Amino acid sequence: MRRALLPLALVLLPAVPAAAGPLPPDQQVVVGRLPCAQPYEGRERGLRQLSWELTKRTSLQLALDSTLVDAASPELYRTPLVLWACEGPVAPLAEPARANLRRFLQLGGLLWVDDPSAAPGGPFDLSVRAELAALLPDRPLEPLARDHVLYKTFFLVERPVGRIAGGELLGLTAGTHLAVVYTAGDLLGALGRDLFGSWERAVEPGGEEQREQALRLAINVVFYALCLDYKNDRVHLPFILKRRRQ
Amino acid sequence: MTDTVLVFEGAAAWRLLLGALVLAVALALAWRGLRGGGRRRVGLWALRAVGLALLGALWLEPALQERLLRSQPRRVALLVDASASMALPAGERSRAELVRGFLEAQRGALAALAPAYALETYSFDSRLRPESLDALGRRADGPRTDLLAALEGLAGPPAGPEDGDEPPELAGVILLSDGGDTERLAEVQAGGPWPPGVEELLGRFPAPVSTFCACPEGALRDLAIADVRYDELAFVRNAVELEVTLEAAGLARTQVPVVLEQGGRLLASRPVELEPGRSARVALKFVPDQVGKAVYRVSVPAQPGERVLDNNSRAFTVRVVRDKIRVLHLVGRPSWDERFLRQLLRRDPNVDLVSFFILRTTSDSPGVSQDELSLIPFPVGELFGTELGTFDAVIFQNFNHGPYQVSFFLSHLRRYVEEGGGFLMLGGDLSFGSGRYGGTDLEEVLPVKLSAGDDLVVEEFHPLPAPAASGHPVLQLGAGEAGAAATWAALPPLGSYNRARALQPGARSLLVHPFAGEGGLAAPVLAIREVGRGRSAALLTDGVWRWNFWQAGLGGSPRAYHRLMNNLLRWLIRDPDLEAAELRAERSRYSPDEPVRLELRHPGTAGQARLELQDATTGQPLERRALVLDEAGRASVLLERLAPGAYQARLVIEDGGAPVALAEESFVVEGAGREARQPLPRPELLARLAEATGGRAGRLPEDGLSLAPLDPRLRHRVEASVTRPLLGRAWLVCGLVLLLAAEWWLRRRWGFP
Repeated sequence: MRRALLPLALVLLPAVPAAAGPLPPDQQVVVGRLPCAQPYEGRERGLRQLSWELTKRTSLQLALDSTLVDAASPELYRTPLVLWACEGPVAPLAEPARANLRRFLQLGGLLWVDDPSAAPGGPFDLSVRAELAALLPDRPLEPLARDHVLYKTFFLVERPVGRIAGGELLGLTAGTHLAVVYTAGDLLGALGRDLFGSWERAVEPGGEEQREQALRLAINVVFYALCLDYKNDRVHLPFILKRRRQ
Repeated sequence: MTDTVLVFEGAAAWRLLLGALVLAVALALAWRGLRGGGRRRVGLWALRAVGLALLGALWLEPALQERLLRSQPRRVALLVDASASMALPAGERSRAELVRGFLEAQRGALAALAPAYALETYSFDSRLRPESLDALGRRADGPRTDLLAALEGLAGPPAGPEDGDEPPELAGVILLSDGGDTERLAEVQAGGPWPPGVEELLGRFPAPVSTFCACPEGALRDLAIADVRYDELAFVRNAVELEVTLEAAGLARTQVPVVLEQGGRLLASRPVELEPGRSARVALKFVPDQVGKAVYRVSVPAQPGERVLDNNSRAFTVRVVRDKIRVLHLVGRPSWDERFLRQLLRRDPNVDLVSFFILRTTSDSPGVSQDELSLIPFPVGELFGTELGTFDAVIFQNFNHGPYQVSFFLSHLRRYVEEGGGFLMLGGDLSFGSGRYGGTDLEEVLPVKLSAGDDLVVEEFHPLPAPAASGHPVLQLGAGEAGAAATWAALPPLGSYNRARALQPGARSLLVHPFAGEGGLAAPVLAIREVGRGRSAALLTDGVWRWNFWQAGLGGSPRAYHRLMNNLLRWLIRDPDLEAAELRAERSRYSPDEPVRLELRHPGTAGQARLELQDATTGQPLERRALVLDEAGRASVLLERLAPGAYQARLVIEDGGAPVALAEESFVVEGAGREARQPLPRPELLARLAEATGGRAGRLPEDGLSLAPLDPRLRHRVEASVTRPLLGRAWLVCGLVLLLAAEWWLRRRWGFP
């Protein structure tokens, strides 16, 4: 198939607008957000920055604002990608909420857990792991292998980083797809900007290069939610392997 | 003549058994009672045994039967081949005429068989038929030749046996034929083994079979397709191999092309070397590109001087099915609608999915080099040029053609659909009018007419089944959910739709907007259309994923979404389970004398329909027949006396002037068929038959009937009889008394108790 590829790859095509303009809000992809034990909006600005970067860098249009969703409500299913990031421990879910969230995950929803404290063994980490164990007791939360599609859904990402380097990228699989993605290094914390456009938090120890890598991983998470294992399709593999070698 | 025989009128089984038992006990007691004495003991015991045996015989009521006998002539069966190959030439005349001439010439010899023999006359092809002597050799149209069936028919009861009598035994069989067996003996080679059971059958055949071959040497020049071996089931886009066997007679060494065609389209051709007297085999390969039952034709050119041309071609049908549904899925932008459709397609083991998603447009700036992206070039030229025909269905999901040079290939897509492909366009801000498809080649094969510009309307609504569309297979969502408006209303609302101008001619709305529309036509949400040999569908929204995930969140099942999308895909590729109409023949091949019964079905439709019959190789229309479907939407059609050929039948059901349901079926009516494929006389087979039964083999016209050995032994039949019982005869009673008295006297004299 490669032999007959058009020499004009997308990146070389003349700049023709793909669409007339931004999508109506109802048509955009919205990220849901699970409530925390204590009110917490600290990662909303990270999500906004992610939305802006997605619109600038990719064909995807992510709504600027996320939506707070109740784990026990049918509304949960309106946002198949749900973020869970809290300062301090998460509040244990009531059984109806747990059952609803469990079904959500089993039917194809994706729960993105991001630890704002970037502290393995900390209150958030312990509480969320306990809740995940109660949600899907027979499925362990495991580090994702380096060849997992999450590392290549849009960017070729070498290692998982966030505001803090060294945080693991974990996953919990239900059937053939990931039901939970756990970014332990405060991924969204690396993306937040204040009202004046300055980065809210320093990224350690890699600085701006690490922030860029964190952004790329965040974009990949969103692309995974929408495209699943598309980048594992046979047609992509030769290209990706070649670029990895380079 | 008369004779006398001894009979036992009381010889019933129970009498025999009881008598034997009493006799055995009496003899045993007698032996025990005669102690000592050596020879005298044996002699006395023998005397008593004779006496008791005579007594026992009397108990069985012996009688003398005097019979008046009449000698009966044995049967001689004359069998004449009436199969189609007998119409083939044998010099100046046909083989049947040769037989007729022979029978005329031998009329005297046949008459001379009486009174020693009873002559029975038969014709045969696939079975044996009684025929008058005058009618023999006048018919040569049987579709098959079955020599063994003819002989087996003779071994059974003959025509018109007299009441209760056994048939006269066969004295001999005279068989006139060209030896062209098309059944169990078709594959028997000279000197080769008989098929299983045949040797035993011939070995115990009750009379010699003498054969006369209507086969003058060197009289026929012929090139025949003797056999085509193929699988009746093939997979689309997978190579199919068939083996063609040619047989040549009377031809010099030559090379001929063997050609395989479908509907006049050349599929394969290979030259083959012909050697006199030898069969030749050639393998042909082709790759079927469409599913369904198709008629193929293998042919070789007529040779100079060849008179039998029926066997120079042979048509056959192959049912082509899919091993997997190959789907091309193009997506203009990742979305939840795309995500759930991909999940559905990927989970289906019968779908071979090839996807291309536009992850960045020409105006996006990832800010990194291409090497840091997992993106690959979009192989437009290959997909829409060389590879397009390999897909069963193409899905454009919110995909705009403009930025990616797909515009140059929209005419390819139109042709792809017209030639049998399935095409589905799903809605969104990059699709339909908003995707700038209005006025393009692709619009011509879509089910809807498009607006010139943006047509996306963002609003929530519950679509409804269009009038009279509830029963359409695409809308069948499972048991208890048969397309009722309430079912659709219970699903989550859609969030947007692409507003089309109108339906294209021949298109049909299945789901419509509950309020929006123009000119009395509700805005279509799901529309379908038959285009040429292909099909297209338009799902004018990007919100059906809500019927999957939202519905699950409301406590429902995603099944409605799964069923709808599966139904849609399978309708596009003409999955038989999703066909609204069905047309089936009982078989794929028919003999010329067999009627062809077609069963038609279009559930939910009663009333007028039409059957169209055409030549499957040329496409020439042959017949149109009006039909009436019953309340269950069924009808049956009997086609009789069809000429040999390949046929395609098509069921057409009109709805307002437009065909709304189509179904096709193909079948072949064989001409002389098997007879023509084996036109050469086979004297060696007839000679082996004669040898195996003790008969002799001759040839027409030179040999005469005197050649045939006949068993001259007569068989006698009892005309009348008189029975005289022996029980009252004085001499018999006196004999018995004397015997027993002698035994008593000797016993006393020799001192036995």
